[in-house]
This record gives sequence, C-alpha cells and structure tokens, in this order.
Amino acid sequence: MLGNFEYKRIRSIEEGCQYLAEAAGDGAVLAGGTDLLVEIRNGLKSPQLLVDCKGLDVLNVFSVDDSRSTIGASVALNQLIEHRVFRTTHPALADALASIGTYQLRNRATLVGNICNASPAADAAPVLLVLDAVVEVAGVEGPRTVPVRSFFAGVKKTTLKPDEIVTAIALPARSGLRTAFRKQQRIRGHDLAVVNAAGAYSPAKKVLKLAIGSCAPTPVLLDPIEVDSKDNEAFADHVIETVLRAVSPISDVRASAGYRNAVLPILVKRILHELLFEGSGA
Amino acid sequence: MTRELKYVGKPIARADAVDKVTGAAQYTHDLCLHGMLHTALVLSPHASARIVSIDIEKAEQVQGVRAVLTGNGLCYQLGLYLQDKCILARDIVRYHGEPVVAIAADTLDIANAACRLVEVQYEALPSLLDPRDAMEESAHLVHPDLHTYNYMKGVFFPKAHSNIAHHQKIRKGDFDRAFEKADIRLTASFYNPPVQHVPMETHAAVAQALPGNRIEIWTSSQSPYTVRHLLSVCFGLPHADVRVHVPYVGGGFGGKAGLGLEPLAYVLSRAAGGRPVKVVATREQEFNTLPSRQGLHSTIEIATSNDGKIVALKSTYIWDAGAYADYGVNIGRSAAYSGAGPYSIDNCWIDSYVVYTNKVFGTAFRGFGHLEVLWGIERAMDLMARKLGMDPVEFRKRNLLKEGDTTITGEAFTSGHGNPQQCLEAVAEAIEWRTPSAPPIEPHKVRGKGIAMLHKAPAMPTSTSCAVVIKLDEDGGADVLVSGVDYGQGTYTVLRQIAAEELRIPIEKVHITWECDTAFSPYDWQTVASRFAYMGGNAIIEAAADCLDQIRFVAAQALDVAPEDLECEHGTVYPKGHPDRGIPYSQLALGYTFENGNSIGGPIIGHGRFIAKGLTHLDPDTGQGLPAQFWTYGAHSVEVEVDTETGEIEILNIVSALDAGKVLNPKLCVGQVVGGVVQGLGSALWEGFVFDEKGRLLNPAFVDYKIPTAKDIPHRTQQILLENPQPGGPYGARGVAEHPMISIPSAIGNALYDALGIEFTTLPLNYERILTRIREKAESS
Repeated sequence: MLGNFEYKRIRSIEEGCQYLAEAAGDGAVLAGGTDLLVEIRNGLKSPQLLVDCKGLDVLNVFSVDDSRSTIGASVALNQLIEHRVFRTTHPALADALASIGTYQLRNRATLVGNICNASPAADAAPVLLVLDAVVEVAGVEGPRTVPVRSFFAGVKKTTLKPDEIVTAIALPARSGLRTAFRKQQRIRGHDLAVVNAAGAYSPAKKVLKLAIGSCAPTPVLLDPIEVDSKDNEAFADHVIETVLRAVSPISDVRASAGYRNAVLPILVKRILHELLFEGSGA
Repeated sequence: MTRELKYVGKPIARADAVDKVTGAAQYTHDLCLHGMLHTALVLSPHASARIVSIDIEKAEQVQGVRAVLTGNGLCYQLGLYLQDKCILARDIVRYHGEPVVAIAADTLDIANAACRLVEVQYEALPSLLDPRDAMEESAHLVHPDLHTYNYMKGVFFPKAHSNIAHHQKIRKGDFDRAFEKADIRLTASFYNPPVQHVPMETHAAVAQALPGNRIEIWTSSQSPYTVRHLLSVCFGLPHADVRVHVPYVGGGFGGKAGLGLEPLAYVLSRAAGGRPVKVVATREQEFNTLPSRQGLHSTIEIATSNDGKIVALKSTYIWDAGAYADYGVNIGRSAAYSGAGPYSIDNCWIDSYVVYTNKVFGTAFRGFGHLEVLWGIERAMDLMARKLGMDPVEFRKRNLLKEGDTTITGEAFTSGHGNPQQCLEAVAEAIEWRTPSAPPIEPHKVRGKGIAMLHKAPAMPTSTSCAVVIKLDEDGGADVLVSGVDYGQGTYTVLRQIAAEELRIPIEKVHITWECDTAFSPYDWQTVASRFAYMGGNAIIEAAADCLDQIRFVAAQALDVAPEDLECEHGTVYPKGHPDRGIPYSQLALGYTFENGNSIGGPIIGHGRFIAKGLTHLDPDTGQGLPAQFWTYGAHSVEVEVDTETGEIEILNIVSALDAGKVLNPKLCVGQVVGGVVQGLGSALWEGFVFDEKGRLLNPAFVDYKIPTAKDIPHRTQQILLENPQPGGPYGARGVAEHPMISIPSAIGNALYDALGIEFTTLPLNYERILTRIREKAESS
C-alpha cells in the first residue's frame, strides 16, 4: 500500500541529518507517522527515504517547569496530556493537544510532528505561537533555533532545510501568562479545526497575544495588542476587527469562508472573556 | 398452562462477543488462500464520459500481474430487481469512481503499480447530478438501453427511453376533490443527501474459479443465497456449482445486500487460470465506488379540516438513484407504500420516482427509504399542526392509525399491528412534553423539544422464505444451521434462545456457527428488512418441534408409552408426571440402543420453514394490495440545545419507544435501539455526500465525512419497548432492527423549530447550516 522507500532507524541525530542530506529533499522524518504515513498511502508524498527517529532516547524526553519547558520530537501527545505538571503548567496547550485526532492516534502523534506537518489547521500551532515557543533544529551544519513564528512557510511547508530534523520545542517561562485555546469542529468527536485560536494575556504587561489557525495558508500570529480599554465591548470589537483583517479564510468541503468568518469572532470573544473579562483564566 | 420462559425475553449475552473481542473471529478481510491474488481497480475520473480507448498493454507486462480485465469482454448484466449493472464499465462510465479496469496480481502493490500504467482515454459527456433535471424530457439518458433490461415484471415499472427506473403509484380515494374542499392546506419540500453505510469491514470478496465451471466464493455479505442465485443466473451455471461462504461479517446496514464485489472477483479468478482472487474495497472506494443510500427530494401536500383531521395527502418522491437502480427501485416502491406515515388518510396520492443520475449508485440502507420519506412527512406534520394552532402531539393522535382504519394501500389496521398511539404517548410523557425546556445557563444558548413518529414493514418479495435445520449432537446438544447472516445485529443469539426454549435444553448446548455455506446451510432469501428474527424464529420453532416429534417417536418405543403421553424438559424425554423415568436426549440423538444391543431411530435432524404469508403484488395503477408481513411502529422525542453563536447543536435527551410485540432479548434490543438512534443522529446532523459541479465526490473518507463517535452520543437516551403481540410472530415478536434510526432527523428538526423558530427542510442539520439560518432570521427580522 505504501510503495517502496528506504527505511533508516537512526542511532544518532547526526546520522539522521547525514541521511537526509544525502537524500537531498527526497527524505522525510518519521516520528508518530500519523500524518506522514497517511500522505504516503494517499500518494500525496513519495519520499525515497524515511528516517525513523523514535529509537533515540534523547528525543523521547520532556521537562516541564515554570522557567522553561522542552518537549522532545518523539514524545507522544498522550504522554504530555496525561502528565499532571504539564497540564497545569500549559493548560491551553494541553487542551489543544487533547483535541487532536483520537485517543489512539494521540498515542502515536507528537507535538513536533503536529507543527512539522505544517497544516494550516495544526491545533498546537496557535498556542505555540502565543507562547513564543522556539523550535530546536539539528542539521549537518550544527544546531540552530527557529522561533515558531518563523517556522511556517505555507500550506504543508516549513522553513526547515532538507537535512534538518526538529529535535525539540522549547517553551519560555510562563511569567504569569493567562492562556486559552478554542477550536470549532464539525462534530464533538475527532475532527480537524474549522477554525482554531489561542490567546495569551500578560496581566503584568497588559499585553494580549492572539493566534488563529485554519484561516490562512499558515497559522497567523497577530501583533501584540495593548489592553488598556475600560470598555470591554469596544475592546472586543476592536480586537475582532484586527483579527478579521489578519486572516483570509477560504471555502472548502469543511466549511465555507462565511462560516469561518462568522465563527472566528465568536472564538476570539470567548478567549477574551476567559482571559480578560472574567479574570479567571489560568 | 403457560410455561415460564427460561431464555426468550431474557438478557442473554451475545454469543459472538468473546470471539470478537479476542480477535478470534475471522472475517473475509482476514482470509488468505494459497496462491491468492490481490486486486486493484482503475476508477473513472469522470461522472459521465465515453470510453474512447483503454490501453492495458503496459500493465500486462508488469511482473506478477496475472489478470487485467476491462468491461469489453464482460457482457453480463446483473441485478436483483432490475438488471442494469455491468461488472466493469462498458463503453461509458456513469459515475466518478466507477471501476473501469481491474487487475489481479501477486501483491496489492504490484496490482496498484500496474493500474497506474493503464491509459484510458475518455470523452467527457454532460453529467446529470440532480434527479429533477434527469426527469426532464430533454435530459440525456444515463441508460439508453433501459428498455432492453430484464427486471421483476409486475412489481417494477421502468419507463423506456427515460431516466426513470421505477415509478410507484399509490392512489386511494379522491385526492384532488378532498384537497380542493379541505379547510386548510399546506405544501412543503424537503431534501436528504446520499449517505454511506460505513461498515467497519469494507466490502470484500474472495473467489475461485474451479474446474468444470464451478465457483467458490467467500464474501462479506448479507445474502449468501442471493449471491449464489444471481451468480448462477448471470453465468448460466447450475446453482449447486456456485458455493458461497459467508464468515463473520463486520457490519452491513443494507450495503451488503444483493451482489457486491463477488462477480468481479470471480471473473478475475477465471482470467487468472483459477487462482483465488481477493477484492477488498479501500475506505475511499467504500464511499465512491460501492453503493450508498439514495438522496431524496420530497414535496408533500397535506389538507385538513379545521379540527385537525387530515383529509388528503399527496407526496412526490424523487429518488436520486445514482448510476444504477437495481436495488434502488425497491426502495422507491417500499417507501411509497409507507409514504404517508402511520396515519389514517382516506385520500392519498403518491408518486415515487427512482431516477438515474451520474452519481455513485444507491442501495438498501437501514430504514430502506423510511428515514428519508419520514424526514419530510414528520416535519410536514409539525408544520401543519402549527398552521392549525394545534399541539403536534395532539395533531398526530388525531390522525394515527387505529383499529378499523385502513392504510394507504387498503390494508385493515388491527390490534395485531401494535399500538402507535402508545408509542407516541410514552415518548411524550418521558420527555415531559407539556413542560417547556428549562432555560440554559449560558445566554447564547436555547433549548427545544421535538417529537416524531415512525413506521416500517419489511420490504421483500411476496414469496420470501427461509429454512432452518437442527441436528442433535451425541451429547444432546443442538447444532442450528441457518443462512441468514448475523453481521452484528445479534440474531444468532436470539435464535439460540428460541432453540433452547423450544428444544427444552440449556442454552449452552445450542450452537450456531458464524459461517454460512450454501453447500450445507439451508435456504434463506437475504438478511435484510428486519425479518430474520421473525422468519428465522418461526422456522426454528418448527424445526425444534420436528426434533421433539422424532425424539418422542423413538422414546415412545423405548419406554413403551404413546408419543403423546411423553413430555420433554431439561434435555430429557419422560412419561408425563414421571421425570424419574426419562431418557436423556444424548441417548436418542443418534438412535436409541436397548440393553440387548438392538437399536432404533437414527440421527435426529429436524427442519423448519417459513414463507411470507398472504402478501400480494401492489396494483400497478393504484398501489393497492398487501405489501407488509408486519408493521412496526415507534416514536422518538428529543430535547436539544443550540449555541446560537456557532450553530453547534447538543442533544440533551432522546427517548425512543418501539412496539416490539415481544422483546426476545432486552439487552440486545436496547443495544440495537441505541445503535440505531446514534446512526440516525449521523443522518440528522453530519452525514451527506458533497459533490462538486462535475460530480466528483469531495468527502470520500472520514476526514471530511463525519460520523458520530463515542463523544457524540447524547447525554441521555431512554428506550421504551412495548409488547403488543404480533400474531404469527415468534412469541409475538416483530422486527425492530432498522426502526430506531428512522425519524431521528425528523424529531431533531422539529426540536430545532421549538428552539429557534426556524423550519429546516434540508439535511444534514450541521452547525454551519444551523448558524446560517439563525443569521438569516436575525437579518430579516
């Protein structure tokens, strides 16, 4: 069903980068495989080489604390969702991850895979964007870091070079941020986002960050918004206007542009309520 | 004296549960025979096109390819009711996804690779996507040769040189006059899109062409004998030379009735020199190549008196059959004779047209047209009640069929039909119909309640029959042979209960094998139409009686007592009142041996039969006649909550009442009702094919074709099972298998009006549709 490709289970990241460099663009990194294998099966991708990184212990680790969190490339979503400290430290991210696929899929799917797949609807993306997450990358020329906001290049495209492997995602200190994630699906069960959105509000700095998914070729991070209004409704209208200007939703089999445009302000409004107006956001 | 039932009516656990959860159950998908080949298909990329040329030369050269077939050499017309289908497309393709070339190879990868080397030239033709357009005089013909096709005469009426595969008429009383004279009139139109059955096991068949033109088939099917019959007719073979096995089946829901992939697997095997060939539908092919449920456009006119009595009803049903209508014609027929709902209507006029279009074709689907027809009828009843200013429950009560009424085909309604009014009252009471919904906590949400009736009778030929054989084992146990298929509905468990009850043996000693084999299992028409427990149950009762007669006959000689003075209990036969003098069945099963060694009797094998009783063909001009072996009535009430900002709908409660006649197994019956309700939710809220303007199916996979998941099951569901006995039913039972999903969309549509004041006429009621209508309403007010 999958056709022919070379399969390498790598013993080091350097080895993996070397193989990918030799494949010169015809290689793909296999972590959970929940997107990649489906795309190969459907003929959307036909890599000549699969570099399986699941065997590397160094990638299957994560650490979470208030100052900094790092999540390795082969950590499965359920490992994170079911980790109490992760859940309480990054509740919006945990919500986003828990909305991806089914429980069974989340046993395989990874956070790093979610962003490397670079779907405009990637559920983790808006949260990572508002949290200023950083992508840790290894390549033949050595390691580098890429802010998530510079990671997405288009529909299913990233700014990674062909030889590069994402090794981890790092989340900076929470520093009192309140965060929220909202997703509009077509059904309560597993579904891709018709629209998704995340917000992070710093009460100390009085700054709000918003990111929107499924409404443009890539997830969209808005410029930080200063929160100084006394009038909640006027402020919400202002934010929604800004959001709608920043996106360009399309009509597809999942939803019409009209529905996306109608629901997006509602998600934003609900995020504002949770983060600002109710004052009880985590 | 009535004997207390030990098994019938008891919550006996499913007999197949352990095999299924441990993975021991083997399905056609699991089957692997020595030397077996695998199949890939080249599908039509056009909804309608002429095949100019097919170049298979490169594909044939591929190492490991054993057979490459096109429609050219396959001059067969297949079908159960109307022989309108070829094995592979010939000359023209009629839907996007239609198989054009089939390749059998050593591995699936090889077959797929070879398919990519096939070059097909098409000349695109105009495609008909709306059956209403297809009925126009000027429309191109999807089947120009319709007038030459064989079909079941006297039952179906294909219209030559048109796209109408069947026109079913129902005429009762004088509609025009009654409508004209009535106080209040209403006309409304409704639409249901085509949907998929989505069984867990996609269609699969393995076939082997054997020496001497014999065929052996293993298939995931609801219909072992129908597959055998249609193959033998198609290929001109004696029935006994076609042997059909049906192992465990992973769900059917009607989609595996009639013929599926079996003929294709056979012709490939024949072309590959008799190597067994497996054909398995991918999930995408299950959507866009194999049949679906037909779409339906309905227009309903109702007229009442001022006091709410329906005096006339007219319906026009236009079925979107898709490219082939072999099975669809029978849906157009059966949904017409049920097409006015469970109401007493003196003046009724129904036209039901089954119309060819260039889309994936339709077939049987749980509910057999009734969910579709009752979407319109039960919404229209609410619309009419509102026009009258009557409560929807009161309006229905005023018009429900009661003893002394006749149905729209002239059948007298009796107490033996069950009690639709009781069903209605039960669901109204349980949902607290008279009490408005409590206001939701969140201000942007609203709630509402809705109610809907349902009914359905088995749609089957007047001669439908089945047989059962019971063989007694050495240990006094019983092997029951049937060829109805238990593809998940639980019938074998129920048949075991009846067999144990009737044979007077512990249920553990009754065995039914999950494999039907036409070489050994006795005849059964098809496992469809909610009639297996009814017909199979009756046949089991007769077969068990036959066994007991044989037991008593031999025991009478052994005990020197007249057979009529013997009774049976606990697997023992004994003179009445003297259980201590009994002989266990184990000493009779193969024959009885006296102390001196003399033996009498012989292996005990009982058989039982059942054939539909008293059914008639419907009059071609009026539709009058007796089409129904029994009717099952029911009702649902629902409470919904709608998020008016996103259109999201949440089902707070669904109450279902069905008049089962007798609940043979409450555990299985409740499970079947819950399953049906959830499947009905799919049709109500999410499911529906989306085509582009060229007729390409845009959502042929679960990514964009959403079905209810565990998370979508309503917070509360309640099942009320009534037991007004069915005369002639086993223990008074009637079928309830399909019924729970019927009218779920109607009840939800009615609840949405209550919540929002919006009349929905098109399914599915997805969030986007709901929000769009909410916004339209806000803008217009």
